Amino acid sequence: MERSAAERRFRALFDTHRRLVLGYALRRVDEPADAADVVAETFLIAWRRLGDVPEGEAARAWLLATARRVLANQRRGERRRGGLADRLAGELAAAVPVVDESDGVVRRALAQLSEDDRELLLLAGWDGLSPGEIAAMTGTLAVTVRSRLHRARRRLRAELTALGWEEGDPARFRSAPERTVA
Amino acid sequence: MSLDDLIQRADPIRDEPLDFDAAFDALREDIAAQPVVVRRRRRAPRKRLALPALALVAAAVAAVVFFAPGDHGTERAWADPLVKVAESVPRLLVGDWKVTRADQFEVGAGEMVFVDGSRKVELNWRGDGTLAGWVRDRAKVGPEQEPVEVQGTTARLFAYSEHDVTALWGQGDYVIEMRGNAVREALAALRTVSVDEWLGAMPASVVRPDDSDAVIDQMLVDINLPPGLDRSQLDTRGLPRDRYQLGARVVAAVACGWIELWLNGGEKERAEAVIELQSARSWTILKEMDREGDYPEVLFQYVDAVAGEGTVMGGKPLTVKETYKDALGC
Repeated sequence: MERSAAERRFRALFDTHRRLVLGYALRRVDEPADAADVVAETFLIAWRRLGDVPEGEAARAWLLATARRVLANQRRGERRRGGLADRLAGELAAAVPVVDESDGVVRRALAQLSEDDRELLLLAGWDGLSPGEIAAMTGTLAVTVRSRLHRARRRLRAELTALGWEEGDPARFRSAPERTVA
Repeated sequence: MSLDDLIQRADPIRDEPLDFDAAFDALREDIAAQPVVVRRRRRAPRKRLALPALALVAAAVAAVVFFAPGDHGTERAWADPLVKVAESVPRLLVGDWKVTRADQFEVGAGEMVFVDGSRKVELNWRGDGTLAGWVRDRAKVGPEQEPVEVQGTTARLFAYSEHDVTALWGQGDYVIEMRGNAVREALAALRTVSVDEWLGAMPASVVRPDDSDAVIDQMLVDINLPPGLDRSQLDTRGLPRDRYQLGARVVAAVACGWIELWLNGGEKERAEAVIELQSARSWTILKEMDREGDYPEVLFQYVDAVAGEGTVMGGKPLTVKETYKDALGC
């Protein structure tokens, strides 16, 4: 691919998926600035391996799989603050887009789950990935993802029930413990 | 409110605050200005695969003949689990469009892809969740279009883009979704069919339950099983699987077994595991899968890792031990 064509493709890829990758990263880091590092590193890898990035919607799973590896490295204490991500990191630190603390009970129930269960539910529920995308991202089979999601939902339901959740509409808690949960 | 809605509502991040256009633009241009590192391809150039490719074509033709529903099997030909699925879920076909994929095929959830020339739609059935929940979710993807009458009810349509529309409706206990580039035409041609016709429409790439053992044996023809892996553990229990997915399942079981031996064995066992894993580059099923997806590429990264220093390259090194189960679907 000629460089100009590669640049065009990269810019389109970046603009289409930048919020997806940032959202994914923000949900999994403690410091918003770290999410900027993940975004920068993920797209840098995408740029350097542009020929490996699938076309169309399939790029979503590829990018998040890459972000996942970047995040795993970062979590091992090898943060690479600075350089490319500086500006985005600065803006994120100034305007942390974390909102809505009203669902503490749900988050507390999620925290009771295994990391695998929790991550599956978050990929589906928060990042909006389909089971097929999660499968592509994690290198497993869609059928396996569906089965694990089913089990994870069952476990979450049990945790929520223990915290007073009553299924059905309107969904409410028998008491209001969410107010007391950070 | 469903469980999924509840999870969504607990999402601490909303899309709206993620607009950092100036910073994003600067980052994008900074990255695009970075030098491109030419990555040495691990695989041989495509043209060197001419001979195996021909062999694959031959194998594919043979497979079509082998699995083609030419014998028009009656329902007696279908395995019980398969009939159970067919009897439970909405059995929908789109006119005489061809079913090219059926990746998942269960009572709880399933998906099929219908193709007619350049027209393509994916049909999903889901037994969990509510129609309202799915509609709420899809309403976020794009503008709602005129609803369509289908199967005695009304389907809600949402446009991802001009040529990518999704339709949702309820049918029995299921939420049905159809997405693709010709959804209105496909909805107009939608028909409910008998168990036999529905199962008979499954594509050649979907392994027929009666033949699954033979197909798995065929996949294993040039593969040695690791110690502790019993061939019977690979049985599909009568459910059809897409050939790629079945291949991934078979290869995962084998490769994971060899990696476990490499991780836990003595010097001799480790050396044996490396040799067996390196042979993966010539496994016929991986060559076939390589045309469709990235599973072989991922596996080869682990083959290189066990033959090298035990780390998988890509971004920063990851250890085989920490990541192989997740990456390969062990």
